Amino acid sequence: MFADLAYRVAAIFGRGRMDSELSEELQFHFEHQVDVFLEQGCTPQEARRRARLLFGGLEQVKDECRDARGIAFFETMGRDLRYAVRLLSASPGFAVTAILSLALAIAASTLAFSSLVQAGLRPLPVKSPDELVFLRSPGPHPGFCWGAGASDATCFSYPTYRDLCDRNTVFSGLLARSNLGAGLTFHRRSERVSLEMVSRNYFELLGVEPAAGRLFGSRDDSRTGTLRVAVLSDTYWTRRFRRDPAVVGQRAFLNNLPVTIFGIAAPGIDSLTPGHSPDLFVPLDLEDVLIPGQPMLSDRGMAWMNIVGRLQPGMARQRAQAELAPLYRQLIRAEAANIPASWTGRQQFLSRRLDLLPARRGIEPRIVETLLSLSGIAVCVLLAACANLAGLSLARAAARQKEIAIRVALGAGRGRMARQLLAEFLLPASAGALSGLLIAFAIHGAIPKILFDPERARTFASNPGPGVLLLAFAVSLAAAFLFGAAPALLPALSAPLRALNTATVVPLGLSHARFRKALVMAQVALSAGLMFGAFSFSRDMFKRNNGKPGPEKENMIFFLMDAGSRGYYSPQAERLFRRLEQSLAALPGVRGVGFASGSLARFEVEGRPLETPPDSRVYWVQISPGFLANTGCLIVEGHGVGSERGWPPRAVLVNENFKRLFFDGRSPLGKHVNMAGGAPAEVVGVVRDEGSPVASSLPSVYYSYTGATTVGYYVRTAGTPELLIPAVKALVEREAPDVPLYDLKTTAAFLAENLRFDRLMVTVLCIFGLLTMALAAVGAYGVTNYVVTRRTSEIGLRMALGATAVSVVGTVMQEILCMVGLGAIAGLLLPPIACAFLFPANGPNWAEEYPVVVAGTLVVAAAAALAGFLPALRAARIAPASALRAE
Amino acid sequence: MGLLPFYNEKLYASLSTQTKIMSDPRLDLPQGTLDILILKTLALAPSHGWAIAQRIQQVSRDALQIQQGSLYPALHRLERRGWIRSKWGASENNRRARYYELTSAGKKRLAAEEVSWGRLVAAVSEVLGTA
Repeated sequence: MFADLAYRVAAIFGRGRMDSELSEELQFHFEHQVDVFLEQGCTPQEARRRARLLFGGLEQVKDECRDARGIAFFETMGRDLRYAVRLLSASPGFAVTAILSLALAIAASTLAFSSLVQAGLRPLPVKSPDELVFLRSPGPHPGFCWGAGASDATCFSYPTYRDLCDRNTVFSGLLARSNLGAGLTFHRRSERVSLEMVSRNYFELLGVEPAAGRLFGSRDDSRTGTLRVAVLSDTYWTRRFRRDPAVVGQRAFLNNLPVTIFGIAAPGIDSLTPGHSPDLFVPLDLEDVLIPGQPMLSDRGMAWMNIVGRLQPGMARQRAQAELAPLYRQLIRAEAANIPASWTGRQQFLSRRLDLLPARRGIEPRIVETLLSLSGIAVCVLLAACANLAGLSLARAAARQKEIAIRVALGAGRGRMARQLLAEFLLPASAGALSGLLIAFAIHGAIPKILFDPERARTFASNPGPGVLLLAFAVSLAAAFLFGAAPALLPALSAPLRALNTATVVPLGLSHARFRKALVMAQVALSAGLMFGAFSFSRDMFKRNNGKPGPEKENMIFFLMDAGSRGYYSPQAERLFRRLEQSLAALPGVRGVGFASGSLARFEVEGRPLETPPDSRVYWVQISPGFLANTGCLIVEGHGVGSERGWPPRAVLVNENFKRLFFDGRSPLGKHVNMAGGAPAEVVGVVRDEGSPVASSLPSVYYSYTGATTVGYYVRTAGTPELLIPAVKALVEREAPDVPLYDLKTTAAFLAENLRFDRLMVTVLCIFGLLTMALAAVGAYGVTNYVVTRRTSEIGLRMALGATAVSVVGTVMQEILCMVGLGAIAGLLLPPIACAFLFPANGPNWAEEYPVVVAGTLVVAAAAALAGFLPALRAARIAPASALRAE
Repeated sequence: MGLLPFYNEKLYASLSTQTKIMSDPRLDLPQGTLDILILKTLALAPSHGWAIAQRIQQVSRDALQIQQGSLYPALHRLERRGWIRSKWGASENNRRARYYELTSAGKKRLAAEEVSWGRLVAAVSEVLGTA
């Protein structure tokens, strides 16, 4: 086998030498034959003649020898490729477009697939991931729900987790996880880190081994000094400590809490929520000392953690779910006893059920859904590109139909013809595929950076590896072949002789022109669908953004000061914060400075029941005296409060959102509210939502600064805020060198980051939509061109009989418009179907969306019709005489 | 008579690229038999194409006449399969000639072919009742 290959390869490369040797060998034989005839008494001339006759065709023998040597295959392939190049270069525009669109489509789908595989299709690197399930319970929740990276339905309170742990009969163990941000100080260097808050049995249950040191476990207790510990993730260990094993056993401060670095988790152990990658793993029960003042552990109303369970061996998921149902119903009923009967969500809450879903790839990965829809879109683009490729190969096959038929009739093998047609397809396909792969390789590293904010991109295991990329590439290429070449090649090869009579390829039982028109229709429909997606997504995004950011938000710098993490107590911290406020205000270019610190807490409103679902917590914001005036907040009710002097003690302001939710829109002035357990305070003003730098989507209460040690600064600038950032940074580092400063950026940058993902989706949809629109236009151009060529003699005849140029263009355009129109109608029907498939849960409202859909479809249809108009014009310039002669 | 030789020669030429199909005493070679004949010939001594053809003709007492149109493609095919190898050497009359010799794989192949040929002949003879 190997020798055979080596022989063939040698035969190809030494072809010239082999040919001359062959000639010499045959010559030798020939002269011997001549000698024989000479011996028989012939004249030399006669001897040579007879020898030559006996010999037959010298070239024929040589050819058979070449065949026998096995180089014929390569030789003819080379010839086929050269022929294909010549054919393609005859219509370079179409060839380039086909190649380019295939390249882009293959790059897009390769990237989408490989991201998908990497983000969600790989099982977690833990012991028996198939036994893992995550808990999900859709329905309303009376209190605060925090997704912790997944949807609200997967969030449970810590007491619920404890109950499930103690009373279930189906799991060999249950773990809980959540994520938090905190300041980490190590050797006097501070930085913001992301914590994975996990139950103590986390590593035991997952079967994770330490890379160094130890991991905390469920048997740790205070006597062994293993309570306040943290475990580093492998990525953070690498990034911050350069894999120095000496870090194990050392002390670090999380916020203000001293913890011992206990060990390092094995590489690849990240969050159970795909796309998240924590820096440290910290026991969940440290929450109350880590964030004093927010006792989330004991609060049933705080649903802030995901629960993952390992099923007992041999326990089926459905059975476990059934066995768990009565217990969960009990828990829900017990919880509902504390909820006022007036709560409207009560019935729904009582009917909440518990689902167990496979967690072998992590907890309900939103990123996987997103990547799935991106992959779906990429497939659409790939199909549109394939349609053009099919059009290209179909046109080639049709143009050569008679030639092929003649060749087959003269004895060309079917395989030989297939090879030639295949070469014609493979050339643009592989050119497109290779450039697509190159594009994919070039930018695959950037994908996580585009998908996530820089913090998370850093830790998203970003290298899918060449294997995954190549696999995705192979799938794309196979798709290109299946949909791009097969429809053209099969009919051309299956009935070559019929073609002699009919002159047209008949794929899939359609006429050639009709088939290509169908392809263009599909392209128009696809592109209209994608355009619609881009439109509606961007509208959705603007809706979520609460309109435009006001000018107050635009010229503003934000940063976070964490004095608590350096051991500051309230009076010290307050002195520092006020001093900093004054110095910042004195900076040239600064119009105003304020600082604020917010926390979620329960509250009571005078004259209302204690619990006010659906959310009994509001955002309590303690603000510096000048905050409202200096950051451009507007007071819409309550006169004279919020000036530089501040406002009376024991008085608060609420935002419009709060007023709407808890005072039913009536004026709250003079009413009293109190933070759970605190003394009542009078509402003296209402702050307008729009323009407030603090999260206005939450109901908020503003009150005087009372000594929080972590605050956010809002610096309003006169000019471009970016220019002031270095000055602000230098000043803060000079005034408070020991206090870590985080997240220094403009509020516009903050907003942009929040919208990053939506922006990305809009951009991708727009690019893909435009791409398919271009593809549809190219397709329409190709089809019209074909129609005009086919009808040349007919058009010539019509013109000879007196048809005007206008009527000729009209006839051609009629055909094109009919095709584009049908595609557009399909495009109007496609989005609802596609959306039902892609976003089953929260589909858009169609009555609202249809104007947009119609507009998008019209744009695409116009582009396609315009592309068809160019060849139609050519039809009008056909000279009747030459057209008639052509036949 | 003037046209007839020409006609005969045309006919002759058209047949000459195939293994000879002539009336008695020459024989038609069954498919694939040429390979085993070449291998057997080369098993005795390395030789060039002309010598192989001559030798087969002599040994078969002119019953088998191998034409170069069949011989050379067969030689190249056998070489590709690794059963024979070639090198250039000097012929009897001191001309440069391509000599073929059997490889060890070729020897094995020949042995196997001889066995199966023997069985084929025996079987065919059995059926024809001439055994």
